[in-house]
Amino acid sequence: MLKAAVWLFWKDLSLELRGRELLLPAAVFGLIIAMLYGFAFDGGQQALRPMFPGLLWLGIFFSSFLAVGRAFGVEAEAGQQLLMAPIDRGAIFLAKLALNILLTLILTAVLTPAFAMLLGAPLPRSTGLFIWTLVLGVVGFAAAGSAMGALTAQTRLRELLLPALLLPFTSPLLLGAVNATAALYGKSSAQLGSWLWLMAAFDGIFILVPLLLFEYLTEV
Amino acid sequence: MLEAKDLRLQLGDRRVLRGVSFNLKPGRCLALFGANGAGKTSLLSLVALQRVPTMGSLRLFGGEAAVDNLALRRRLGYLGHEPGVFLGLTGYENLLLYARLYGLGDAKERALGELRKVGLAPFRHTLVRSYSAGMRQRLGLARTLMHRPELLLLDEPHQSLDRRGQDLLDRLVTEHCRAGGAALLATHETERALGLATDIMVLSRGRVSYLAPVAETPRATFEEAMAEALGGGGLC
Amino acid sequence: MRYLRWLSLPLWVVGLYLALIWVPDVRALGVSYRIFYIHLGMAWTALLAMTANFVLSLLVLVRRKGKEETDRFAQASAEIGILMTTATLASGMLWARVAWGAFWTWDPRLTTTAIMWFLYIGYLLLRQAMDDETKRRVYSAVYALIVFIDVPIVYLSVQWWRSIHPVVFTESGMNITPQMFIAVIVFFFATLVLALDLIYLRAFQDKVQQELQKRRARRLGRLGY
Repeated sequence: MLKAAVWLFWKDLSLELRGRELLLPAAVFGLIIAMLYGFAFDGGQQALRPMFPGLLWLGIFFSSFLAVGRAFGVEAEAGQQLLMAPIDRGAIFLAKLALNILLTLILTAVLTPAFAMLLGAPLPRSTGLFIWTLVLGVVGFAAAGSAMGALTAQTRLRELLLPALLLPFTSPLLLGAVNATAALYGKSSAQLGSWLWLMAAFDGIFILVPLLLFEYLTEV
Repeated sequence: MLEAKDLRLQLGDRRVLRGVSFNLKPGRCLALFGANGAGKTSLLSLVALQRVPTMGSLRLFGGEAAVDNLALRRRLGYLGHEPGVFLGLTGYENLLLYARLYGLGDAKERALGELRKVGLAPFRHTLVRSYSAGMRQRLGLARTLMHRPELLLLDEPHQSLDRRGQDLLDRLVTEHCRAGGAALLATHETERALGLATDIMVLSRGRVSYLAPVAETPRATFEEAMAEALGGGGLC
Repeated sequence: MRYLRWLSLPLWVVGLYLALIWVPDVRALGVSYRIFYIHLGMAWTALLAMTANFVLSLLVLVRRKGKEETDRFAQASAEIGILMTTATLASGMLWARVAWGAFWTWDPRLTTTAIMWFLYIGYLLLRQAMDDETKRRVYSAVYALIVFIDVPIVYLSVQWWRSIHPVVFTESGMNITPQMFIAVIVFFFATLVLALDLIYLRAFQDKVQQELQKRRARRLGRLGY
């Protein structure tokens, strides 16, 4: 299964490198969101600074959603043909998951400094822990997005259905990420540990469970 | 090689297949005719393990067909309505990917060889996005044959191919059947299919209305069977 | 299961009598608190219906026989669960308006219930958007399992976030009188029986609809289509 997953990941990656159909639009969308925050919450950087954790994560989630949501839709016809090959369908899921994690990590690496500059956020108390927060939040979102993307891949209206399923589903992750970030910027980081653990648990559970259940999707 | 017994398929309120039974032995090539909506594509999708029949039994290579049986998939070659190739990859990369997914030895050699066979070698490093419809179909054909499947399932394989492409297709399928493989192809290209096939099956509204070897079918009998299938109750 | 309907009605009458008349007022809370009997019964029933949906979805995946029937009941229990969740939210919001002065507060149970509501609405949306019956059965079952695991995580996260909901059962013991407890239990059974009845009704409706579709197909077939 792993070997097939590696080849499929190589395929997805070359498609993305050639077409840049996912990352580029998603990154531009994220930057636009940052600009719109400035317009919508008038009052300059002073007013925006306390809201930075929430604004940052909404921006990351929404723009990641664009990339993750499209991942199962790219070249859907050829993807359908792929199911004829004698490969474990878990491999297909694993490859998409790896791609989604990579894409959202890159996206976050681009968007976070941009948001910090535009919204006037200072450096967090601990850069290392901040990076952990970003990684845990984004990996969980990519995992949940891959699972929901796989489930909605063959539906009508999938573009509309996916946000309705994915965004409520990832609400604990959003809470964890925002509060962990806030703890890194606020006075006390007493709760930081528990939020990081919560996110880690979410990541682990929703990487493993869909991988196990994916077997059942192969039977139909 | 293939035993279908009383296959039935219902989609929504339409009974697409209403009891289809037939056998396919090694070395035989069965051409599937019928009006639009007669159930040709649905029958192929059942044999290709893409769908589960509502009722009936399907045996492949002597075993019960199951959608999750990966070993069975390895012995099938399926070319659908769409060639199903990745537009963002080159022709060579497409074949290379499948060669690796099927676990073929010397994947690179194999991919190149197949490209040469279908005449796409000069365009092996061109993105499939810039291929014409006929070239994509040729690539699809190469992918279908590359892992040397025992049972070929072709859904209107002649479409968008030029004459030389169609000749090539006919030759490859004939060779495949002579070597002991079997093929099932749905088509509207009557003349080509009759030249290629060893058996004929006509589907009419989800049922088999005619099934016999080509050698035992005089032209008039075939015309009559087709007229009946296309005339009564097909879509107007 | 038809007698359920006749059990449900007297239970509701008794439950309403107990909740609205028999149980004495609680001075601190005033009359409005009586909605809590309905609220609590529905909330428990909603959780049970979602649990039933989880168990049935698991059965759809692992059991070989009776998948159609199990699937029908899984969908029906999600639908009735959503109905009960909606009623829980509505009654809770009405009470919150009187007691806390606002329809909505970001209290953990309220928020979790709202997110659960969205997640199960998603279940129905997913089913609606799939045509192939076999696929719909399996895909929605997988979704149901994943979502059911998510709900406690949502609850935990919102709990850490904030908490102001009145707690009925605390670790030290019950916060209510025996009289109130009886009313709660009777009302819980009244809603539970009603929900069971509705689930059977919905599953039956679906079965009839599928049967009708089959007959229609047969008729179309006879007419030559």
